[in-house]
Amino acid sequence: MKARHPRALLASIALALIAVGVDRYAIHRTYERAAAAAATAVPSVPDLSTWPAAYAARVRAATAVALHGGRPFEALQELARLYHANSAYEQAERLERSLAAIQPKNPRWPLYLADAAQNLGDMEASRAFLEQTVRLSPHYAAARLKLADACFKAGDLDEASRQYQARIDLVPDDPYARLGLARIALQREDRDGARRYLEAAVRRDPNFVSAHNLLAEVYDQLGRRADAEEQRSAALGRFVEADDPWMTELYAWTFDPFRLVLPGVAALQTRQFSDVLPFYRAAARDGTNLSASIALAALKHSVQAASTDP
Amino acid sequence: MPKRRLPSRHFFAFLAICGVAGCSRSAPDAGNRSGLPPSPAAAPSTAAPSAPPVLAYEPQPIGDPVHGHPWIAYLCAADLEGTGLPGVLVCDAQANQLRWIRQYPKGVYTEQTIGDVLAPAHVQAYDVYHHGRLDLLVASMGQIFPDNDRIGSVIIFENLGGGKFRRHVIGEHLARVTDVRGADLLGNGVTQLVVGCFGYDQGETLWMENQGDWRFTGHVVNTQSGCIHTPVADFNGDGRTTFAAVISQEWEEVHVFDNLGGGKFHDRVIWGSTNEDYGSSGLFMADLNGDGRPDLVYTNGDAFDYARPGPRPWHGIQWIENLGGGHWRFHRVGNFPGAYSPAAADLLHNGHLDLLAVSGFNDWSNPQSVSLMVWLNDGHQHFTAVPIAHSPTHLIALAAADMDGSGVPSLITGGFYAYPPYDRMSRVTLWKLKR
Repeated sequence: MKARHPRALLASIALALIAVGVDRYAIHRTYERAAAAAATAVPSVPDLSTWPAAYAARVRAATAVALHGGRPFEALQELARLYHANSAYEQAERLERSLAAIQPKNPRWPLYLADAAQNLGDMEASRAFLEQTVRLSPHYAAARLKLADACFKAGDLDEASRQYQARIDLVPDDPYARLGLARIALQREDRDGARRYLEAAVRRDPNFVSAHNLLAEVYDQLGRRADAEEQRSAALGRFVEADDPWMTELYAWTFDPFRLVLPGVAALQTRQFSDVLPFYRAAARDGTNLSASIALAALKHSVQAASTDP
Repeated sequence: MPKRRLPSRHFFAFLAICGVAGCSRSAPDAGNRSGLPPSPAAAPSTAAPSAPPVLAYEPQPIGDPVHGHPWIAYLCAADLEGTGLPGVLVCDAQANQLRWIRQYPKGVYTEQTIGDVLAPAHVQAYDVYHHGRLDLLVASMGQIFPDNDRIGSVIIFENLGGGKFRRHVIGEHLARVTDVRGADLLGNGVTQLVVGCFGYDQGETLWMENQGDWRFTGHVVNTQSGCIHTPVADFNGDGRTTFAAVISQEWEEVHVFDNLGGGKFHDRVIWGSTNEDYGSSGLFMADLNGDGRPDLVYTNGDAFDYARPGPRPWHGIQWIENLGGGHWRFHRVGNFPGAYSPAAADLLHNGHLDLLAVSGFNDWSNPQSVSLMVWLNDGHQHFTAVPIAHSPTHLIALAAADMDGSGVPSLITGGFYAYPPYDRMSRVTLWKLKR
């Protein structure tokens, strides 16, 4: 037994060295590819004169590092996220394509590319990127829902139905997928099926405005006027998008005060008071955006009042 | 509600520990290793092309002068008197009136009031009872800005001839009405109405059945909020009149309502954006490729609902090609911040339909921001963007019509000034092609 230990130890050390070597080689290749990609993918810095100084500084710094510095991989990621989080989708798309080629197994890049394509008006490409995302990360429920919605809006009801169902498998109480399935049922003239999905949706989320509205329509069509009116009276408020944590991460790179204020307003309108102030504070952080600063001051009062209002 | 979360830096630290900084850099990355879809076809830029075709227009204010901050929500050309000299019907949401800028004699425009309408948003000239005169079908929102109360109405001004009109309230207590169109939906020669109700939280799209003597009853076909426009055509080529709708708010979809006969319609989504902030702003019917099938031209540039109105990177114009058999194909034409009021017209009189739009929400702090744009069609639906005007700003209404019998369309725009700057205002402007 004692004689075997040194051999086992040596084998373990050899394996560890090989593992480290492989790891280092992979990292080395990643950096090689990042450096090569930087030469073609890094966009020239746009006019940032109207942007917060902190944003301009970070874009310039990341651009310089990507092109000339020692850490092009980190810089490419920083730059992609900065551009994407501040609505510069064409610049972000170039960088994200390069990053997706460098990290083909990272599902965030196709998700971000799907978002960029969507925001550039190319729903076909957006759908293809979402398909890529769910292939890479089948359990990421947010991408499932987005893919299902994209299929629905492209008229591919069968695939939309499969994706909504896959979302429910991941999030059993999800009202969004049930709304989608109800809309498919309606497109197929299956009012009773739509009713069942919608009743299930509002049972799971009594504040889900869109489902209440559609259920009112279905009750109308089924001749249940009183039930329809009850649904309409419950259907006041703002639609809130389903959570997408990977997209939400990008707020950490957002400097555009308007983009920060929007989710703050949504949080206020949906009485998610704990979420309101962080967005406004971020919007007003550089002190140069007067309207954001004024809004922040006013909000502090109204949020305080509203949060104590039963 | 999304929660803010800082990115993990652990991966970066791991790379540093592995001594990556010492690695050499050499071979470029080989091709598309990710298996990603090809790069999306870049939408043609809205910047001026390198050698722009010669196209310029001479603006001429017509009708009443600017007073206060005009709110022209919609306008269209119509020859109400059958003189061959079209005038301009104007939805003046500041005055809460339907106005008529009459052209008589040729080239002389005089504005008059047709009737009071709360927040008029659309007007169509349509001979409802085939009496040989164009009546005026008007969508009344009740209030332009967001309100979920059922304050909308459908109003028809019956054309009595001689410049006189009789007002009929066809429907009231509706969600805010943004469109009314006449259509023979039952195939019996009788005019029915297609009505889009934007509402706010709640809205609907409906058709109204003609019971005779200016009485109509409504049949809801869709209860999604945010319906803006409802163009009418035989989209399926089956001889039945049907209609489309652009539905904004959180939906951002284009629907077609297939006419099944007997007053039954089947609601179908033909395109939609998953960007709930896409900003749908208008839908216009035209056979863009001349294949005999009506296509749809669609703008997204709305920003009324924002805390700070302004352009968004995804604003632009697109057309949705009718492939027949219920199939459609989406084509992005170009980016255009604040795009509103899509239209199509043969501007160069060369047999090809060009595209037009105005901007209500461009970056007006930049004097180079475009407020009126055309996209010239090379005959194969390849479009070249040509900026026409940077001033006046805040335009949300546009029409193209042959106003002088020359066969060449002029453009007509309307300004809507709900937010500053107020330094380049207009009310109604006629744009004549410079030769």
